[in-house]
Amino acid sequence: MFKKLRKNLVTILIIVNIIFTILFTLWFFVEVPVKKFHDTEITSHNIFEAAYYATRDRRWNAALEKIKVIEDAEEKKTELHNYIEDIPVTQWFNLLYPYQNKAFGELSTLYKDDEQWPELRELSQKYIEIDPRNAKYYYLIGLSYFHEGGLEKAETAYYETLEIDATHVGTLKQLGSLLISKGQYYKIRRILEPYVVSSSYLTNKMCFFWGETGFTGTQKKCQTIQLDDNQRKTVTHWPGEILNNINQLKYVRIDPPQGTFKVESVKINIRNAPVLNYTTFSNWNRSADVKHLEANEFTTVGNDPYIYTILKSGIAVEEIESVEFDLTYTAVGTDKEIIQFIQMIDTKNL
Amino acid sequence: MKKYSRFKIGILITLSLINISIVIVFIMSFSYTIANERKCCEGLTSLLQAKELEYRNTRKHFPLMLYKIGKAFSKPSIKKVKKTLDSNQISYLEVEIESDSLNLLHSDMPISGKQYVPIRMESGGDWIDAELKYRGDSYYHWGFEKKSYTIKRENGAKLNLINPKNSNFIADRVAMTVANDFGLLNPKYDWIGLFVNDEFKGVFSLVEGLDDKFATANDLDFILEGERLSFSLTTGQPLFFDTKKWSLAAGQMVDDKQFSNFLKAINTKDYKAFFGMVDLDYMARFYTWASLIKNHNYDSTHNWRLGHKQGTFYPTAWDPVAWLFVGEGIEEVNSPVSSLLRRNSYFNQLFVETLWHQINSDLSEKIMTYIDENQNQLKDLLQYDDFKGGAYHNPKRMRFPQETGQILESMDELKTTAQKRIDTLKTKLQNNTLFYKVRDNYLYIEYNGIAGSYLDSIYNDQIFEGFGAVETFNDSQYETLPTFLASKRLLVGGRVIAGAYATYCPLVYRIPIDSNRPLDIVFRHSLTDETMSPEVKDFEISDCHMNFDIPQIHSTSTAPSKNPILKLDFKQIGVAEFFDFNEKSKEKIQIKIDDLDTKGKFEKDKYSDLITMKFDDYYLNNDEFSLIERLHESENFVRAQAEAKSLHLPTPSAHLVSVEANNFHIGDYYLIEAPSKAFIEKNKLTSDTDIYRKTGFDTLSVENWDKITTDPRVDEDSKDILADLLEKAQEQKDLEKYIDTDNFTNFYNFIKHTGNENLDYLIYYDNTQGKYLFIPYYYSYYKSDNFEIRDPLIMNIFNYMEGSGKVAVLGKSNLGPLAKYQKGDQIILKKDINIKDTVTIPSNLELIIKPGVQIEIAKKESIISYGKIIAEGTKNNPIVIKSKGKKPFGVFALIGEGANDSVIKFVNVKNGSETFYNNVYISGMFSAYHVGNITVANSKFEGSQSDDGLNIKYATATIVDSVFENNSADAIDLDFVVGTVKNSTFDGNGNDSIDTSGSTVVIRENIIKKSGDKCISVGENSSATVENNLLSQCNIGIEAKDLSKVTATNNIFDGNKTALNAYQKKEFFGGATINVIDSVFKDNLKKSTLENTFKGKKLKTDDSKIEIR
Repeated sequence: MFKKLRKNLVTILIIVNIIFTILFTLWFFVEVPVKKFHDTEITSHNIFEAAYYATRDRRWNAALEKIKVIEDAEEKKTELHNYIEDIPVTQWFNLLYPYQNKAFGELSTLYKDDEQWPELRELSQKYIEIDPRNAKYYYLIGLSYFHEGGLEKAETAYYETLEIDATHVGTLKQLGSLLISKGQYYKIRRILEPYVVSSSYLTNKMCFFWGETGFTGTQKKCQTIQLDDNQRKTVTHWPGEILNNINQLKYVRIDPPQGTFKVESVKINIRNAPVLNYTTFSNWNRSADVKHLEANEFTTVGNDPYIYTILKSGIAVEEIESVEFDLTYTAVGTDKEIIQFIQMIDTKNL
Repeated sequence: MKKYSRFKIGILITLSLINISIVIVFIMSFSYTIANERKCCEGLTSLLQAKELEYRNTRKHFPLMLYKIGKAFSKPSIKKVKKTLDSNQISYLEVEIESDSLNLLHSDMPISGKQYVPIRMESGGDWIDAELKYRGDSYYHWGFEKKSYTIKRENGAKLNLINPKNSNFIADRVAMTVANDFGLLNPKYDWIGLFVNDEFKGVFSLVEGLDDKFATANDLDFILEGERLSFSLTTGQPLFFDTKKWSLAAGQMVDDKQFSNFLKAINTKDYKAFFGMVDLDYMARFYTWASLIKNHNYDSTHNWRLGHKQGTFYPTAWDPVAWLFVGEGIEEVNSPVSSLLRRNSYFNQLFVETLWHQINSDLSEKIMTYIDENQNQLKDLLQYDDFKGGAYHNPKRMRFPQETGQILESMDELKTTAQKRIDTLKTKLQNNTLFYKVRDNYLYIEYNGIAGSYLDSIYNDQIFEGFGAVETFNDSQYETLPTFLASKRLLVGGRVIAGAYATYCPLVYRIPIDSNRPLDIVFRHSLTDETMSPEVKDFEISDCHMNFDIPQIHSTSTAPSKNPILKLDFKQIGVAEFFDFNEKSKEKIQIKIDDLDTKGKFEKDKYSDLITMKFDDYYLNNDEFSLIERLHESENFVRAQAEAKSLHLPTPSAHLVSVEANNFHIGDYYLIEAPSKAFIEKNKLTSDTDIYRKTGFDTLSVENWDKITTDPRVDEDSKDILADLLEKAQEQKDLEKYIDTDNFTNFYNFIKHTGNENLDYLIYYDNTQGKYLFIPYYYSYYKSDNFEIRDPLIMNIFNYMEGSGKVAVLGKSNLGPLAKYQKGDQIILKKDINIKDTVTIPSNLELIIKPGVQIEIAKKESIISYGKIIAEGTKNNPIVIKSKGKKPFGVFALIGEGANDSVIKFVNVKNGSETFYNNVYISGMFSAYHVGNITVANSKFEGSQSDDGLNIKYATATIVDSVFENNSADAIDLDFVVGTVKNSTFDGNGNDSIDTSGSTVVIRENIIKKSGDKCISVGENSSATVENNLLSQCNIGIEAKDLSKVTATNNIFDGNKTALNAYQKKEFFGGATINVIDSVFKDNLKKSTLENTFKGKKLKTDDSKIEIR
């Protein structure tokens, strides 16, 4: 009995081991994916690395969260500085090490608030070495020189910012005020021109569509965006009217103004039925001129931006009480200060 | 048996445990990954998004290692590879790179790979120096074993070696060949083999750069490159919103507005303007090509290469990424250009007709032939290309090289893909659906399809005459059919963007009908000519918001420029970079303008529009210029110049020229005279002094002043005198001692009138009066409302001048008790006096020296008077001014307007020299600077040990009945003087007897003899009338230089080495002229010469002449 059992056990073990070895070898060399994240398959050759990076990410993320709550500013700066120093420096840190970017944001804000300009400059310079095509670092260098009175150096840094992003609003404002203080009215007009031109192309209207398809029997409501001081606003829109010309509602679309926008919810209130409430928008269809940032947040990258969804099953129009949109946006309107610059230049321009 | 079994079991159990451990470790790793991914996902997700960049491109990948080992054993000989390349008619390139350079390239990828490293390159049998780097922003290019390269030769020419992107290797090349067949702008695309350090790196695509050469060959004015200049695609505005997202790849834009107007037309959907700037036939061919190869790349983000020719923009076929994308739409490129075009019905129909024509031609056969040709060319070679290419859609997911067989298979698949695409297009272009309904005596037709159809009839009698009444519903209303549709009886569908890409939109037409006639609606497809009849359907009226504009013929001819053409010939890089605001550029170039053909330096700073040019030869009497584009600002520069001239401020000349560089028309520019020596001296100033140019905004800081010329007698690097001025300006104290108030007043009025709150200017140290002059250099013209000075130095000086309200008190006194005198007081010297230390007489005092007074001055000490001097001796009791002892005294000098109307009669001055006083260099034993009027009569100047015996500058002077003897250098030096020298005697002076510069003088009835150099020297744009003089035994009798004019009448030239000589000494002046009338020439060795006695070599521009009558 025992012998038989032992014999069976040996056979089973041999079979299991052979099968396992074959499967493992196959998996190792052929790289059968275990799971797919986005386009990347997790296979034998990268599973340990994936685990390592995941662990590392969590640790660094947690460490950053811990630093964020430190109240003592000096201690916080030191910790942030050490934190940044510990993270590997690579050009692709924005993708690979987003917490480093966040740490930069935190530390640069602290330096700015405390007017530690040389430190801000040193920090920005470090990042330029690893991400030389990012306008914000040059801007911060310009800002630091500006506050220290190094106007020529600030001007040069601002030009470098504009070389990457000719419509960088912060830079245009700083450089604008600098050049106006120097009486160089023609120069600042030339520098502002790309911004003024591109601003003129930006729509400041938010439109909502709903109907049977994108084209037929479409209801469309647009409203002009009035920017508040923070250029941010929440829009809630109730059409409050029955759709004409169509029998069923199948299509809901939002055309945002240029800038970033975050959709909180789209509700379709239906008579005698539960509210159809959309709160996730990352899976909505979007035009090529919209880029998904994160969760329900998007940004426009072209002049024909919209997101839309097609309802799984149509809703009879007579049953619809209202369609309700709730979203916040940061529109790229023409900056007030820059408008003032232009007015000032106009008073000098022959 | 038992032991063996136990051992066996033990082994098995151990093995099982190991296996189980492995499984557990893997499962734990996996679970941990998932768990952490859920908790903090951000980093990991990002990591996975960047997968290829770090571990998909793994260098330690085990199978890859095995592959490399295997390849190492089966490595073919270089000779064999070269032989195969030759037999397959593929050229190759050999380079040598030092290991240090390779290490540098790989040290911190991708950044390190973007820097050029030195290499040696084989070229025509020779090894030449060149540079190499990895190229391409996308990791497809640099992230893998086989990389893309850029090789730059010493002359700036670049070779782009591209690692084939497609897994089939050849799709892009085939697509480019098709683009060429379609008549599109396209770069040449060849295969090339690359050997690095005798190792075959594989076959690459050699893509012609879209550079000046390409532009010239295609008659393009310029090429714009449209890429969003950031790793982060969200930085700034999209490509078609922002002109600055586009950079010049070749040529030069004459007018920036051309492109901004193009973008404006696109963004404002101004079809009329847009059609005026594109060639619709070309655009139809371009999008036909894009449709055929399923290109999605010419989008609102990147990949645009936009050529420009005579007012029209032409997209260039570039980086086609052919037959790769999924999706079967007819045309799916998402960009504002394609969106705009597809909303226009005219273009839509043109596009489908072009596309239909192409796909029904022999295109399919051609593509198959091209694929076969490429396949044959590469098939023997791919086995030697270890890492192949095919970075995109590689079946092995990019991290493992393909097998040769896989590539060849992919090429076969490409045939299928291309054929399938053509078949799909044929089907889709034929697709259209038509419905109709009748309401209220109207026939409504809904047309859905990309190609239009002809409406042949609507009644069964086939007579349909009412086509003119057809209307379409568009933009919320029914509108009459546009002519181009009505004339052809053509109905078309709408096209819009829905979802991510383009699709159809049902366009609705309305036709009034006769209800008594039975309907029989017949359409004929515009592409296939097949007839069809619509079905009845109760459709909704949709609004596609289409556009029905049609292109208008427009004239693009422009009148040729009448300005002189300034031709610049660059050797190193493209002209675009030379004129780029953001680029620093410097090169020695060939320059042609008018008759001048010379070389010169072309130099431009980063972030500046100002180009500086230094010619090797003179053009319009100058060799240094600024080149500034003719913009609103520079137009106003010219306007402001007139203001400067009216205020007697030195004004640089400006010449409008039409610039051509490397045969590209660059545009109209102003060639503005630089603040050079020429500019200075032509404005009756001297460059032998300190002149500073403003280089920074904070003009109170000495660091922001660049010393452009220096006084040869002081330390070249010293800015001490300037520092004094700036210190006083900072303190707003005693500025009248440093500033020429008249000049500053004019300067201030200039900037106020022209609204230049901040401008470029020079400060000129006038070392004849020890004060600074302000010279505006580059400026503009603004409205002067709300004028406010921005320049700190000007602001401080102005505040001081305005606030002090003082009468200027010039000079300082060390006379002690004399200082108590009030303005207008006199001091009378009746007795002899010994001067031990330098004495300064202030401007508020008048000094009267009585006859017979003898003034002895200690060695090197001087008398400097800012006040008026009346020194009137008599014939028998002259006043004597001399040194005490043998060593010469300094100078006796009159300086400033306070010394106006001074009189020197019967005064003997001897044994003096020169001095520096308050930073003023006083070069004559007796000097008078800026004194208004001065008279010297019956006096004697002898034995001076300085440059001049008598030196007068900036004054009106009369010198009569005087004697000048044995002075070591010049006897009289008149600079910028209007005056007369009459009835005087000159004898034994070491250099010139009379030397003039920038002056207008009459020299009459003098006896001049035995001068070491010239009897009379007339230079730097002077004018001299020389009459009734004896000019004897001098080296040269009369010499005229540099634009000077001498009219000599009734003179005797006796015993001189050369009687007359004329030449051009300084390049920025012209030749000189001497006219001699009724004169006697006796015993002169040479009567007249035109020789450069300064350098010995006659200048090219010297047109001096001497005329004797």
